[in-house]
Amino acid sequence: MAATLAGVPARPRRLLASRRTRIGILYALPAVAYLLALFVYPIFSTLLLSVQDLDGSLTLHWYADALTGVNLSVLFTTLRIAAETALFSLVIGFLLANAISRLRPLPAALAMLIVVVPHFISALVRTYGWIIMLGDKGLVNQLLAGLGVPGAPYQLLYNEIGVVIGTTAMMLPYTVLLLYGVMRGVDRRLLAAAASMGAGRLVIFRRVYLPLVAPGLATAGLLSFILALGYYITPALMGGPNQTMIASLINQQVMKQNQWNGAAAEGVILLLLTFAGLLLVKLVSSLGEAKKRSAS
Amino acid sequence: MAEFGVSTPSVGVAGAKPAASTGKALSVVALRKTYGDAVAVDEASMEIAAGEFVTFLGASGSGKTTTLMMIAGFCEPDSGTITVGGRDVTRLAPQKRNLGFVFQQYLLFPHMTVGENVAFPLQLRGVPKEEIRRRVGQTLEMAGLSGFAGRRPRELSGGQQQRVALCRALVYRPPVILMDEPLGALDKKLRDQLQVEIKTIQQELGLTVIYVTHDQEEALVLSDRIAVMRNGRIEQFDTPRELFERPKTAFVADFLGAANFLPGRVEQQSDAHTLVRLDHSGGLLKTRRHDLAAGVAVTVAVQPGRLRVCPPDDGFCTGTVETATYVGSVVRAGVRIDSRDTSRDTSRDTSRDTGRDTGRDTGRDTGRGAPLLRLEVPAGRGPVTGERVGICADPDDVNLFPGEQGR
Amino acid sequence: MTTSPIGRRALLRGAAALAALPALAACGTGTSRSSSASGGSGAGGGKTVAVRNSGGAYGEALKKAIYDPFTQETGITVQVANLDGAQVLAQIKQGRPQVDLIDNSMMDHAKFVRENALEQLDLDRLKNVKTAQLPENLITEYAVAVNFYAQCMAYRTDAFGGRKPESWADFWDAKAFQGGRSMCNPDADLPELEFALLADGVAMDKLYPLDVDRAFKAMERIRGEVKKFWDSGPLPGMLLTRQEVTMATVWHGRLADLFKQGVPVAAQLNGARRQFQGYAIAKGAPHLDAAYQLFDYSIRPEVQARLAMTYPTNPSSPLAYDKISEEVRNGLAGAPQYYDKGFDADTEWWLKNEEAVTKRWLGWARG
Ligand SMILES: Nc1ncnc2c1ncn2[C@@H]1O[C@H](COP(=O)(O)OP(=O)(O)OP(=O)(O)O)[C@@H](O)[C@H]1O
Ligand SMILES: [Mg+2]
Repeated sequence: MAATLAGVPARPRRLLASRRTRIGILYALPAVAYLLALFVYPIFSTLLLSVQDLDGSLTLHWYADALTGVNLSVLFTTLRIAAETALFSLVIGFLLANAISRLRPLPAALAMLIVVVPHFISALVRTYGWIIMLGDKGLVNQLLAGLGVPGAPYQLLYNEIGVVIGTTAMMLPYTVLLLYGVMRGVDRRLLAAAASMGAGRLVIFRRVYLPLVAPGLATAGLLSFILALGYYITPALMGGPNQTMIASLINQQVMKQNQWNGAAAEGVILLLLTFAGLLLVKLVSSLGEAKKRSAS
Repeated sequence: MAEFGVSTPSVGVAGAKPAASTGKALSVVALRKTYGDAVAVDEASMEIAAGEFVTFLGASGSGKTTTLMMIAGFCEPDSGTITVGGRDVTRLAPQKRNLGFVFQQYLLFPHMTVGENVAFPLQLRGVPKEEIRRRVGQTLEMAGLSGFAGRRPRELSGGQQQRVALCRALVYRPPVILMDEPLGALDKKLRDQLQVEIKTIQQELGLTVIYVTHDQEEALVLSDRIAVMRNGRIEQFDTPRELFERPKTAFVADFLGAANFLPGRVEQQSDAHTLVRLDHSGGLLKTRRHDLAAGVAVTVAVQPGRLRVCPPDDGFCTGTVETATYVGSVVRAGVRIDSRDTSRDTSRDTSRDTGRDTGRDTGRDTGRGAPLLRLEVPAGRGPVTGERVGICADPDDVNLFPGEQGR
Repeated sequence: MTTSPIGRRALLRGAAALAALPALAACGTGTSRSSSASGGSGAGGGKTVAVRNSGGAYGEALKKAIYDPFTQETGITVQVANLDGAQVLAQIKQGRPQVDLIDNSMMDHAKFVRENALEQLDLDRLKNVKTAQLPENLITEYAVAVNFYAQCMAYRTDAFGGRKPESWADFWDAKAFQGGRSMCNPDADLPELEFALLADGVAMDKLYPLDVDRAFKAMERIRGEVKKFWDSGPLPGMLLTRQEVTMATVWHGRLADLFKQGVPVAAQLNGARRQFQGYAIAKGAPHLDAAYQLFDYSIRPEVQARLAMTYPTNPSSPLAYDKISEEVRNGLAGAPQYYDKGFDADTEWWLKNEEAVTKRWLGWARG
């Protein structure tokens, strides 16, 4: 091939010319078209809307609006609740997935079903269910009061505790499924190998199991964080005004006020936050990797 | 495959019993394991001396891995006891047994470097950092892996990974190392090379090794003693030589040497010998004495290398050389035995029409039904194709098993 | 608005894509689009009219009490779509509305008018407006109110030792009437500034224009007692049932279920706020004639009465109440004996101020 002689500058062209690359592009075409039509174009138009004033002129005041006053505090609330949700759904999801991954297939499927069921219950029924569970006169508080726990009944609904309980429950199917998959993928014999060398359970968990499922943990945490950023029904059900989420504001603006520009700006901010979350995880994981490299 | 998991047997009474069995690295008594109705391991017993290299040899599914897993503690026996260095470990968790284990699938920790993998068992034992560094380096060097400490397992070839796995099991000097087909996934050349390395290391360090394989050649090369397993039972546990020369069952004889089997009946017993009348040729074969009554149906087994070519009249049978292949210093020959009618020996035709072969022996069976004996004879006096020869065997080299051939 | 329809459409999709990323799991009250054709005896030979309503039990009642008899009478098939206001608006803006008749709140109709999305009504084609004797203020250029709902207070009868809260002042008096409160969240309905002003001593006929500052100051006094700002109709009923609160503002119609279940709650209609629900015709409606027919049909007092017998809604025609059984009538906030106790929400005022008040409400409620 003549291009080979040309050396470094010809590389991109050589790459394109190779049969494999061409076929690769062909394969990628539908996906690219799909992404363009369903994501890139709409997102671009949303971007455009968010910087357009009512009369069509360019403006940033929708962003200024979104980043001041109540809107800003709602933004922080959203971030905080998303982070809390990610944390709790990660921890609980880990414990659940771990337990389920040790079950036999049938009980495992059953347990999975129980985890997923809340998703198929209508918001209305769920609302009532949570009141029965967590209300002042609810099961949990009655139990605690019955046990003589000081301070009972606790306020478990219509505050941040309630919201995090609710969003975590909604998120669990995702984290459990994801972590379950990762855990099933872990070669249990590696744990046996560690045991054969004399490692106790705790050491095996910390030094072998945890590092092996760590990528799954990062993904699950990120997923729940991103998903929670967009939640608003559950926070509305389980929380108070202090737990208003940004998606709720977007909904209000579009549905109630027919105010699309402001909603677009907030949507863009939400999107940027999502990217920031992605970036953060990437950064943290590559930092960890670098640290490891330099250590060994 | 046995249930892996760290949660196997609960920690039981681990009282170190007084060393009733000094010098014994490991003993297994009446070990039994069933999965539902299937018996995976059946009453396996053996004693292994310190520094011994023992191999479990057997066909797939014969219970080798299961036995090893029970010794390692990854699965709990239904009954029986396991003693390591005089300590009953039967109900002990794997991490408390202080054994080394090398898995067929290497099972290196993918998230650790080679160095970290090998250092892991030392860290568990609280060995000081400097000491760890030294021993890891030393062990890797011994395995020819000095430059690889910083690599990830997936960046190594299969053979290199297996050597790392070996290092990881050796580095903390466990009194007994268990290896489950550690070379099973490697190609022949690499396997041969690593066999030598394993054997060398074992001898240098005086390690006790229990090794699982279904490759009989590997077993012969490595082992001080071999346990031949079949259907969960230990068929015979002996030195390679004993197994080869004094197989206790037809199965063992067959499994190790691809022996020649001939059916026959006990003709006569003397003080030192047993005489067997062979079914096909009708010839008489002298063996060392076995306690069998006259008239009992038996199977004769002789290894190809223990048969000799002799003048037709001297042998226990005659035949025609069908093939003769020179393989270096020996000739491998196939000799078709003459059936009784062709050899005109009719001395036994009244007593032997009860057997299943009655129809075949009535003369119609010429050649094709007659067995082909495989011989390995020194190349110098090699027979030629088409030559009629007699076949002899030293009585001591002939093994006799009651019943028809257990193949 | 200057944004081109294409831009608008793209935005809808953009919003969908954005929502798809972070709001994947925000499921729940997604809009259901059920279109059920009333099984008409088809004399009209394929004539149809498409109507938007909010569905649910109310939608069921409409079908039973109005659409089906209408089909029987006229042969016109009624197709129902449970669309969001925003969806209907988007369709009209694109010039292809899928609905002819819109059953919505008068507030929402007014918002549609601002978007120039409704047909100006030809009152000559709505003969029943006269015969039903609808009050003047319920008839606008673009929409006519056919029923209303009342927002009032409900309380547990077992909570106050036999005493009854009589006014919003009592609702505000957490010492005399102890226990948690629940009030509505702007997600569900207009902020309840009127109630605050009434509690603060403003006369019912002097409410509008609302003194927003005074109202929020009064709201501040009850803030600590409010356990939950409800965002869906059934929630206050649930909270009362489960004794999470002793008093709540409610949509009066929702109480019927609680009474049936025997929950010890009662309504206090003093100072109830009425908001009207009406019909309007989508601009560019494909079946204009049929739309007018169903519209006019729905205004008939006996049809309004029939709806009220099926679902606890209050007819806008005073004549309808005579046609309702006494038992049902006594359970309606619109019954003559209660009517004077409440007031009509001022749509005009709220149209101008809803956005600002809602924003202020959020800031206030977040404290
Ligand atoms: N977890 C298990 N459940 C059920 N049966 C099992 C289990 N593990 C092993 N067995 C059965 O026990 C028998 C012995 O199995 P084992 O793995 O010990 O054989 P092996 O000699 O190691 O064979 P291979 O050479 O193929 O590795 C087999 O019949 C196998 O099917
Ligand atoms: Mg095996």
